[in-house]
Amino acid sequence: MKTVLGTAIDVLRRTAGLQREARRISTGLSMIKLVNVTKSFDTQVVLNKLNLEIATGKITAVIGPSGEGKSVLLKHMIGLMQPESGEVEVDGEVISRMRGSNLNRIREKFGMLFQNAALFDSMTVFENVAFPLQEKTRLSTAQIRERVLDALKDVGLTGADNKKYPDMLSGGMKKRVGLARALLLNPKIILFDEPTTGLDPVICRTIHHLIKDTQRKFGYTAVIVSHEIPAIFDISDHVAMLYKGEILEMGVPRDIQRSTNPVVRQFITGSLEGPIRLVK
Amino acid sequence: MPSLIRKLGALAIWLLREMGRMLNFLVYALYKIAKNPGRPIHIFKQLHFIGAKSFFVIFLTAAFTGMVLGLQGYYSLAKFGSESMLGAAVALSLIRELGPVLAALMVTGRAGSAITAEIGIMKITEQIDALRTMALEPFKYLVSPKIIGALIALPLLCAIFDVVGIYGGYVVGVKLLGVNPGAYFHEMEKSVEWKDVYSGIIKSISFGLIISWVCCYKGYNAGHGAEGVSRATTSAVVMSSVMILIWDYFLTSVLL
Repeated sequence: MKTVLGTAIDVLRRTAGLQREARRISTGLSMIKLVNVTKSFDTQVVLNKLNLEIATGKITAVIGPSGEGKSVLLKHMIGLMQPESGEVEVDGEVISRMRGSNLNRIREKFGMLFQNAALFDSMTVFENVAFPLQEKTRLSTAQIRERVLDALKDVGLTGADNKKYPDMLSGGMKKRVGLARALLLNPKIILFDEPTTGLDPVICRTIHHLIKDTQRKFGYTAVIVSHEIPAIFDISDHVAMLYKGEILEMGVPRDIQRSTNPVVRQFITGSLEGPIRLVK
Repeated sequence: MPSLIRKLGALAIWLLREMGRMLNFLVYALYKIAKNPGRPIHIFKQLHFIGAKSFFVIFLTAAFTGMVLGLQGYYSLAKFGSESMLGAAVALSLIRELGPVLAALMVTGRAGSAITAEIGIMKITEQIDALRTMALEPFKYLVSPKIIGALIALPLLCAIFDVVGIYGGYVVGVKLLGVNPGAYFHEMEKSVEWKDVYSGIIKSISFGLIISWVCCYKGYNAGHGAEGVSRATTSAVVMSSVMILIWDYFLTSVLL
């Protein structure tokens, strides 16, 4: 009886999975889709009926001036914030009204690298990376150790660094530990919130290469919020420009670089003259 | 005048909202504990932090409280020629009242402030968001173990406080002031009832809940930056201490 029930549940789960997969394919191979998403804080509208599709298995960069809501956009994608109106769809499922365990099921598909890496400051590098494995898997201590060391090796961290606490690390090292932690559970999607802000050009390029290499190796869908112009064009498959709560322009990097839109032009050339005003 | 009324009204609404939010937090935390209390290792860590690491400060406070009680009690009882009742007076004061309350106030100062600061810093540095993005429930790691740890640690610390305090009173009363040691313990045994002991235990358990609840809530809702965390920490200690004293009065009136 138990076997029959188990098989029936398994078939139902598979059918639901296939339906989701079919829906995702029918919606144009987009892993994440935001439809008319609006979000405001007090009287300030941060996202204004925003529409955006993130292609599966590609690197999409979201660029735009500071304070335009790029991090807010990322937080909507992973359900850390809920839109006031509109829908957020991840892997064929609408998550904008999801709560609790349903939302956690969707978050299993994600990894996230925060702007300041958000490492647990009372844990060492090794413990930080091992934490998700200890909490979410039943692997033995030896297996966890092996996987953590492999993940740290992938991002170029070995030996004595693993015993350090986050406040003993440089900005670049913190980002690499954050990336190792994000990659560890082989997520389908990784969100990068300004992964290279505040780093020197060499480390900045190292992190960009790391993202590109690991994306090719594991095939995840990446969304990168960044200000690194023009470096971000080299690693992205698509670039979206966020301005005044809307996606002003989206396309392959070459199209964005050749854009005639005065806002996009000013942003990528860094000119002081143009429609983007520092003082609002 | 209308603006004053408006301000008072706004304050009353804010207070009601804050109380509602705090109550929601507590109900959610208790629901999470009932559903899945989390891994024992996290609970043991909190038990160690709240309980074992508070031992020294509890020992010191209890010893001197007992000694002061011995001293004051002796001179008060001597006026009525009842010095032999000193053991009973010290023990009843400690077991019924001072043990649970002072132990709770010391734990609030030592562990409660640290709980708020820890959670507050985790909040402002996005470490709580990092837990969420890993599909891990932050309450399971940050709140539930602390509540369970405080519920277990407080009665134990209170018991230690009582015993150390009684011996503090013994040192002053018997060794320094010459009260008969047999009388000290005999009167204590005659006067202290089981009801006195369990009322102290009930008090300390409820104080454990108050400390962990208020301090976790304040940390979880800390404002922005270092100033936000420092304000949350101060507010957590003040609110926990005041709530302990108010709750103590109501509980005493019920348990008497």
